[in-house]
Amino acid sequence: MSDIVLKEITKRFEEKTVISDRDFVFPGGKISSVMGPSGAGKTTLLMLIAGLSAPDTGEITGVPERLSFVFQEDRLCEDFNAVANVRLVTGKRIPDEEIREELLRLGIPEESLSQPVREFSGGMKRRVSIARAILYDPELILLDEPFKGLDEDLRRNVMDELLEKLHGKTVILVTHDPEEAEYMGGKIISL
Amino acid sequence: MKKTFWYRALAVLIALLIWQAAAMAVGNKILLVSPIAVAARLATIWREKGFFSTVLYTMARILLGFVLALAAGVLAAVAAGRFRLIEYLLWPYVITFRSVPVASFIILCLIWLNFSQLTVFIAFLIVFPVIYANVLQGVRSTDPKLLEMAELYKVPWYRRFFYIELPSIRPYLLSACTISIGMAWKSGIAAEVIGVVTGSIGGALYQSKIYFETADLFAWTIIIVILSVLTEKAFLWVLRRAFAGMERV
Repeated sequence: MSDIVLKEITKRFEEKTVISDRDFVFPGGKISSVMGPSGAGKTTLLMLIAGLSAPDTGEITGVPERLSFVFQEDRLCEDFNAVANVRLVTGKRIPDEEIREELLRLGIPEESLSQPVREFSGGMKRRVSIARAILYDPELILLDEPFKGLDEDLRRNVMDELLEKLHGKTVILVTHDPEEAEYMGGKIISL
Repeated sequence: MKKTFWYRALAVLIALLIWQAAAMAVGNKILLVSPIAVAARLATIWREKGFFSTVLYTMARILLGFVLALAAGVLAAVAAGRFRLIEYLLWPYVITFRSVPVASFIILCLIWLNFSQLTVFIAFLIVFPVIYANVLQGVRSTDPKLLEMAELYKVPWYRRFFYIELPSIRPYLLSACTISIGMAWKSGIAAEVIGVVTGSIGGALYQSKIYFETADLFAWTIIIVILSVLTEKAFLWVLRRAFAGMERV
């Protein structure tokens, strides 16, 4: 799997320059963590890699076709249940049973699986969004503060699940918590 | 809630009493028929030969026009929401449908079409812009972040429509349907009256005008209102059930 390389990247929002002429390399098939204070452009960096936003200057190469993104906002279809939210991106490729198992492994209670996600707590929505990203079976996964709002036990559980399922894939994790970055392992990039 | 109901019921009763008193004061059943006479007429009118076929004739055409306008309006609005060009191309038609008096369209239709298509077409013309405008607003109110997510995950258009656009269209669609079913009835029957379509409700209204059967006019009017309310309730019930069923998949 090829590395993701960003060369001489600059990104401005109106007058504010968020990223100024920077180079980044994210090793293919490995985990990298991006750290930095809020407002340093961590989310912007992920949006650029995902192709959802274009850099003002510079070049991005090595981004695979299939990628998932755990956005800071969960971006779920609130009227639908957790399984349907995953099926939105997987289609019929994955049987419902497998989706259900993944959601259970991420700690969604069985009785909640048939409820619309608008009734879910913030932490539960987070995990549905993570399940969706995992089951899409991406080559690259972008995680924007994915453990925010999860308590200590859940956080460990979710991190372990991610480590197991994303082994051998390119993972870019944005976090402000050094402990998370350390636990997930791999390269640490500061903004 | 319950209190309001009784107050309203009382107000209706008072209105009926005023009507009865006025009818008695006028003393002419052509000029102003009494509510009792209308009630009596209502009790017999549905037993007359041809009543149900008349009701069916008009109802089928109004509902057909409505359903066609609903489908076309939703499709057009979704397309216009995605491609500005389509919105611009549709603009002259929507503006025309909305601003030209129904009567002009009815006369024009009488020249172009045959009687049996008239009601369908007029109901369609009236309903289409309402559905289109409301649904377009619903499409526009779709969360751009969800659309961005769908783009990232390469979600095919039909699933994106079903999971993301339809839920945000839903409240707009429901209110558009509520408004426009009543409009379809009113305009469809106006068309039948002007076109003197025999065997239709509008035709029956026209007959009551010719023979000065004011009791018939009132009885038919009440029947139209009842049909309009019933079809509205039934249709919204079906729509809500369909939406609820979708969420369970």
